[in-house]
Amino acid sequence: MLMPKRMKYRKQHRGRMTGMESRGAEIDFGDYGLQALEPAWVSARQIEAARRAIVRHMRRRGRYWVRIFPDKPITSKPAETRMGKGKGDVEYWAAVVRPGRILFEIAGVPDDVAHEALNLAAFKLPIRTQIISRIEYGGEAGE
Amino acid sequence: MKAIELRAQPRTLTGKHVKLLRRQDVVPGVVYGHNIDPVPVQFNTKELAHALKRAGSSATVQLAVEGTASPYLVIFRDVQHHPIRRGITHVDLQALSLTETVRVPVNVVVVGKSPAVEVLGGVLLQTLMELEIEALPMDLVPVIEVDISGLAEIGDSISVADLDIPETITVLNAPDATIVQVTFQAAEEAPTAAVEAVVEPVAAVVAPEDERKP
Repeated sequence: MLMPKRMKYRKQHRGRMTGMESRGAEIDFGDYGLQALEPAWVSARQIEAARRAIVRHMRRRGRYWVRIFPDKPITSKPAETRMGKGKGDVEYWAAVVRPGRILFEIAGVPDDVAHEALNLAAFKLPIRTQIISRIEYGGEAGE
Repeated sequence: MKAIELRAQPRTLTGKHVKLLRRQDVVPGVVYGHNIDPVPVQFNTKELAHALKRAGSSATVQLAVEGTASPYLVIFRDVQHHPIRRGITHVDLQALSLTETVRVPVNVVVVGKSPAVEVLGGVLLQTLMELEIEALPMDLVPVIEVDISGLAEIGDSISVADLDIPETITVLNAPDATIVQVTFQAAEEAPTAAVEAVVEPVAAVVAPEDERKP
């Protein structure tokens, strides 16, 4: 699973996920992308499950890109523990995703394969998503 | 090529107030350029989208702003979209001088069918989506077409130097930059393997708290 190689500080505050994503919100590498419509912490396990769903459906054809990285340590206290005694241990790593963020991109496969692969990946994620394609301008004049 | 025409109105609302315009199906924009003062303008969304589809980022547009004597010769320098709804939220237009060259990105469009993909089952990967070109305004083109019918073998590629581009246009990308390439299907397993290879040593370094313990 994805996780940072090293961190300056072991634990983080939870933070806020307000507003929409302004960066990483356009398709930059592939032809199709899976875009988040809700804010969420997407765990490394969920990213890996979605990535596997894409790879399995594409069967080595085409290419894919993972556009998020789980760089936020999420802590929790063990069950039935009294409050206090400091912050809990790091349980997993998550990517902070805000609406608009492109999560995965795909290129080099037919339209129907790309849509199905991204649809299968969407089932592995804790948020609503939409499948989008690259915006291209120019060349429609034909004059 | 017939000039693309676009109408605009001068804009008085600026800053955060342009939200009001967007609610009325009007897109705010600005025209700027060498030796002219910036002019805030607004467009009808449908007309703007139509012109943008035809012109892209590199074809010239005749922009008629209401109340000005002569039209501006412009290119779309920047287009902003809403991240989710994907509608156009703002455009920057650069006014051009007919005697000065301009640098613009041009979309690369793949045309034709490659035998290596159709017959041999290779995967066509487009690595360069746009080229940076320099030319006089009247020599600009909306797109550059790349014909892939000559890609007969897996591993074949087309680079910038292979393109048939008019002498009036200077391509600023490196001549050996690959635009499209046909690769093996099996070669696509490599990124997956690379991810695993990078991650596992990391897990060894930071992993003690990774596994969930009930």
